[in-house]
Amino acid sequence: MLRNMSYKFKICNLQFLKLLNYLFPLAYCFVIISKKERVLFMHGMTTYFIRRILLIPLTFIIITFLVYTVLRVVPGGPIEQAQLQIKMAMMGEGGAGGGGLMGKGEIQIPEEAMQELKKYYHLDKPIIVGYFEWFTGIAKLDFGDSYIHGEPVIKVIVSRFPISIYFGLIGYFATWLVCIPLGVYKAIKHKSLFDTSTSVFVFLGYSIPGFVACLILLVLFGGGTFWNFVPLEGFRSDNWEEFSALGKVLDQVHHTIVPVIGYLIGGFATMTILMKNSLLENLGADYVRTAFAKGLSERRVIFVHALRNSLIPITAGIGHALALLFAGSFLIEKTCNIPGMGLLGYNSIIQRDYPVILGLLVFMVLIQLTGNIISDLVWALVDPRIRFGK
Amino acid sequence: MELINALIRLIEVIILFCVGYLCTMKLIPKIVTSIMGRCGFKVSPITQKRITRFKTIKRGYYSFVIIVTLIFLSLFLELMVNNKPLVIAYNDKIKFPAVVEWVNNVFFIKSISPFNKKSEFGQIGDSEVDYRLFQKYSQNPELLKLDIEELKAKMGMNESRDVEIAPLEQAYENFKTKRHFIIMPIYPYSPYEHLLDQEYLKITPPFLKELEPKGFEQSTIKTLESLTTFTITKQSLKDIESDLGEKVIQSLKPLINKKFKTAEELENAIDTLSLSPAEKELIMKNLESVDFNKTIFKETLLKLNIPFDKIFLILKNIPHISLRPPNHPGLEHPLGTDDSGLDVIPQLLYGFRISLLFSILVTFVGNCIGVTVGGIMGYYGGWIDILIQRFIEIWASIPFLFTIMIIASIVQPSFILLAILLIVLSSWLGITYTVRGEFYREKAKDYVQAADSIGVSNWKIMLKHILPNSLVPIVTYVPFEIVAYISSLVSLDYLGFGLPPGTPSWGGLLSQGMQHIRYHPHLIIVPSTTFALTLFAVVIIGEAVREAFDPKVFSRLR
Repeated sequence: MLRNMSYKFKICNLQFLKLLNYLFPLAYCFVIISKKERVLFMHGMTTYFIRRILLIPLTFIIITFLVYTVLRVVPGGPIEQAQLQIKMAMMGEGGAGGGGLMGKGEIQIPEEAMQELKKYYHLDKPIIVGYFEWFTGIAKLDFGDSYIHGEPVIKVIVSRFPISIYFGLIGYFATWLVCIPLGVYKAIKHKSLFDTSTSVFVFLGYSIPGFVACLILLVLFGGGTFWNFVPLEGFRSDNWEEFSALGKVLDQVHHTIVPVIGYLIGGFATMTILMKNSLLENLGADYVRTAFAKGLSERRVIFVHALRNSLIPITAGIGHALALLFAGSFLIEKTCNIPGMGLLGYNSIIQRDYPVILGLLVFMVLIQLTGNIISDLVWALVDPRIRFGK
Repeated sequence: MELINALIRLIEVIILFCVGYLCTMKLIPKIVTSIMGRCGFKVSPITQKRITRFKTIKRGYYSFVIIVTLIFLSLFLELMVNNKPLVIAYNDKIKFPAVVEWVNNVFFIKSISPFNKKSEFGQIGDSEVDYRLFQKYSQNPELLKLDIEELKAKMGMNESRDVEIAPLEQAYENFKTKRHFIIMPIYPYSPYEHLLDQEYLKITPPFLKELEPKGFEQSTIKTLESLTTFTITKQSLKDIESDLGEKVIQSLKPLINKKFKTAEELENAIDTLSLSPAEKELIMKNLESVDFNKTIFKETLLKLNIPFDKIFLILKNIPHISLRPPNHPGLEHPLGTDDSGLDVIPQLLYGFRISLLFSILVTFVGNCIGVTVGGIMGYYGGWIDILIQRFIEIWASIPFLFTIMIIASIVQPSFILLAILLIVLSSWLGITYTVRGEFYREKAKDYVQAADSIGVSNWKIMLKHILPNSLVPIVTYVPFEIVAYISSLVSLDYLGFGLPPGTPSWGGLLSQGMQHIRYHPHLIIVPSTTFALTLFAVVIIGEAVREAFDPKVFSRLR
C-alpha cells in the first residue's frame, strides 16, 4: 500500500529525488495531509534543500574549529592542571621528597615528562595540525578518550543517552497530549473564564524558567521544612534493581517527576499559545465562513477543516523535537542532580575535559542542523503554500 | 517605639513610590516628547491611537506603570537602600557617603571615594565606619558607655590588648553634648558589606536558670524571659540526631516549631515524653531561641535599667556566635539573610536593577545591530542577502549556553563583557529575519519607488521611510526578548558563570538557596517569587503591546 501511494506522485525530472520519494509516505503516516495533494516539490525546492544539506559540513567545520582553537589557546588546560597537582603533591610531602626536582623553591616537571604529558593529551602539535588530526579521528567515529573518565568519549556520551531520551520522549508526548487539546479548547472558548484563567497559568509557565520551577518544587516537596514527597536528587534509587517491576516504574517516576515538570513548563506555554492563535486565525478565515454557510455542523468545521490547517506550524516542530530528544538542559540536571548529557557537559567544562567537550559539541551541532533541515522539510511537505508560493 | 519607626519607614516608601510614579508617568513623557518635537520627530496619529489602545488594556498598562516606576526608582537605589548614611556630621566633619556612592555607581564619576575611616568618627580602627552602630550611639550614648566599660573589664582580665580607650571616651563626650548628626537611608543594609565581625548571642533556657544564684531579681529574670521564646526547629535537632536516635526524633515531632513562652513550659512538654535526663539536657541545650544581635541585646538590657556589672555577667553566660549562616526571616531582617550574612532585600533590589538594565541594554544594542543587518539584507537583496543568510545560519548553530560557559570558565566576565558576549552570540540574530521580511515587502511598495525616483539616497530611504513602517514587529518582540535575557542572566549566575561573585544577583541567591534547601527555604522562595512576578509582569506587558499594536481581529461566526 505504501508503494501504491508513492506510485501516484508526480516526480520531477531529477533522478535522485527518488530518495525523497520514499520519505513522503513516511511523512504521510505522521502528518495530516489532505488526500488531494499528490504533487511533489517544484525544482526550486529541491535545490534549496540540497543547498541546505551541503552547508552542514561547512558549518560543522567552522564551529568545531573555532571551539578547538579557543580550548587550545586559553590557559587552564590539562597540562596546567597536572602541574598544579604535582605541585600540591610535592608540597604535601613536606619538601622532603623529590629532591632533584626542587630548585630555588620552584617545582618544575622535567622536560621528558612534559613531552609525554603533551603527547598523551594530544596537545603537542600546532593548532591546525591538531585540529586536522582530531577531525580525521571524528570521521572514523573515534572521538578519543576522556581525560577524566579514561574511557572512550563515545562510551561516556552514549551511557548518558537513555536518560536524555527518557526526558525527551516524555516531554514530547506530554506536550503533544496536553498542549494541543488545551490550545484547541482555549481557541473555541476564546475570552471565556476558562480561557482567561488558564492564560494566567500559561503566562506564569512561560515566565518561569524550568530550573526555577524545579527549585520551588524541591523546596516545597523535597523534605526539609515543608512536605516530604520527593527525593532531592538522583535518577533512580540506589537499590533500584531490587524492586519489583511496578516498584521500579514507581520509583523512577518518584525520582523524575520534578525534572519532568521543569522540562514541560517551558515548551508547554509556547505550544499552547501557538495552537490557540493558529486555530483562531483559521477560524476567522473565509473558507470556514463558507463551510458554516453551507450548513456543516460546528464540530465538523472545526475539527475536520480548520484544525488540519492550524496544525501546520505545530507539525513543523517535529524536526526540532529531534534536538529536544537529546538536549539536556544543564540547569535542570544540575538542580535535580540527574546524570544526563547536560550535567556531563557542565562537568566537562569545569574539569577541562577537552575530548568530551568537543564530542558533545559535535553532537549538539549535528543534531541542531539536521533538526532544522528536517523541520523545514516537513513544513514544506505539509504546507502547500510554501510548495507553490515561492 | 519600633512599631512607629516601621510605620514611618513604610510611609516614606509609599511617598517614594508616588513620587516615582509621577516622575515616570507625567514628567518624563513630557520632557521626551518636547525634546523629540524640537528635533523633528513627531508622534504620528496611528502611533497615538495605538498608545491609547494600549492604555485601555488595563492589566498591561498597570504592569507597565509598575515596572517602569520600579526601574526609575532603582536608579536611585544607593540613596534608599545602603549601609552608608545620606548625611553624617561629627566633630565639624560633614560627609555624604551615600550620595558619593550613588554618583560613583550611576554616573561613573569615581573621583571622590565614599570611604570614611573609623577613627574619624568616634570608633576604633582604620576600616570603614560602622554607620548603624554610629546611629545607635547617637540615639543612645549610654550604649557607648557600656561598651567602654566592657572594654575596660576585658583589659583588666589579662587580655593584653593595647586598645586606646581615650578616643572612645572623647566620643562619648561628643555624643552627650550633641555634636553629631546622621541620617540613614530608608533601609540601612547593603549588598556590598562585609559582615564578618557581627556578633550574635544564642539564648537557651539553662542560662536563665543560672542567673538566679548570681543575685538577679526574679523580675529581671522574668523580663529577660519575656524577651525570648523557645522553639525546637528541625535544624537545631539535626546536630544531635545521631545521638538521640530515630525514635526520639519521631516522638519529638509534635513539638517541633511550637513557640513556648517560658523555659518551664518547654520542660513540661518534654517531660511528657519518656526521655533519659541526659537526652533531655541535650535537647534543652540545642534549642533555637531568638538570636539577638549583640548590640540590640545590650540596648534592651539598658532599657531595663540593669546595672553595668550585671549586664557583663549576663553576657558572659551566653554563648556568642560570630558569623551566622543564613538567618530566617525575622524582625531584624524581614526576608532573611544569605550565606554570608548579607540581607536578602538589598540583594533583591540591586539584583533587579542589574538584571533589568542588563537585559534592556542587550536587547537595545542587539536590536540596533539586527535591524541594520536585516535592513541591508532585505533592501539590497541579491548576493548580499544570500551571503549574510549563510553566515547567519552558521552563526546561529553555535550552541549558545555551552559557548558562554566555555568562555566564562576561562575569563571572569564583567558586566560589559557579558553583555557583549550575549549580544554577539544571540541577541542580534533574533530580529534579523523579521526585519528582512519587512524591508523586502516594503521595498516593493510605491512610496519607496517614488522616493528613489526623486533621488533620495538608499540610506535615507531605509532610515526615514521604511524603518518607521516596520517598527511594529520589533516593538512587539522587545518585551519577550527582555524576558529571555533576564532568564539567561539568572541562569548564568546560578551556574556560577555570570557576573563576578560579590555582585548582587538573583541567580547567586538561588545557587546559595540550593545548598541550604532543607532548612533555609527562604533563600529559594523569595528570589523565585520576585523573579517570577517580574517576568510575569513583563510578559503581560508584551502581550498587551502585541494586542495594541498588532491586533488580530478574531471575528468568528460562532
